[in-house]
Amino acid sequence: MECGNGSRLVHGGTRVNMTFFLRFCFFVASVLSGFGRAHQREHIMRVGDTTMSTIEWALGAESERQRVASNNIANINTPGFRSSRLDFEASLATAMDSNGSMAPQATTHAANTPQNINGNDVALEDETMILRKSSLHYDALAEALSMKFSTLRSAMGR
Amino acid sequence: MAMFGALDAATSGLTVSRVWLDAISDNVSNINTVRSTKDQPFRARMVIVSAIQRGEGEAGGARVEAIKDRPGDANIVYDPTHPLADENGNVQNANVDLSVEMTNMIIANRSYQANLRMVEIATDTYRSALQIGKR
Repeated sequence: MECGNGSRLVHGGTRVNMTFFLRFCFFVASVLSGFGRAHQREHIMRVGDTTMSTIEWALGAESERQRVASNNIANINTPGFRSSRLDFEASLATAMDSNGSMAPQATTHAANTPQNINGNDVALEDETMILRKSSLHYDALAEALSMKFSTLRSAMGR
Repeated sequence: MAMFGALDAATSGLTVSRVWLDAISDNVSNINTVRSTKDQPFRARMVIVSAIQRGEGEAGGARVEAIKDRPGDANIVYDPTHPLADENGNVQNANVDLSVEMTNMIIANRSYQANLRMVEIATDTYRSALQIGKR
């Protein structure tokens, strides 16, 4: 189809149509990209939007989770010690759905893993795995935050 | 949390291997435990493992179902000088086979290593996923 049009364009009568078509294409392209830019700008202009505050809060919660896991490991030989876990994902999701009317909360609860003979229930694998996952989450959040900053920086033209 | 499914499954494998090693260690340390024929003999502890059903929110893996005593006839030996010997001069030795325990120890150790390697590989994979947005 393209090929057939091309052979017709050789004739002088259709050359005008060709230039018009190209101009129309440029117009459409510029309108589209302009629209895209305007759309993007709407989001970038709000520097202190929920993305940054959410990531900031989640970073803090992740480091708190690491503190809880470290505390569990530190008490691995304490008789009767019950390990605890920190949860915030569900609360954060609810808070984000509520559009800022609710604050997210990080809550600790008992892990309830099987107890040893001395009443201690710290499972070293579980705790190290929590630390590992938390470190991955932390890296992902830090990466997301740095992406946000680089978007802002490119909006400043730097 | 099913986001890091491979890590969850590998952790359950680590726990199973650790409990197994604990049981083997208990068995080996009790290899010389002698009891009176009136009591139950010391029986080797066996770890019963079952698979975790893979499904919604569960990544699969394994868990310790139960720890049971090894069945079989008591190992009665004649030792009349033993303080626990009965009127016939018999005592019961532990129902522990050292060659079985040693073989199991190697398997449990390798199983722990394999699961730990799985954890390393999964972490590397997840970490490389973080490189996607970088430029």
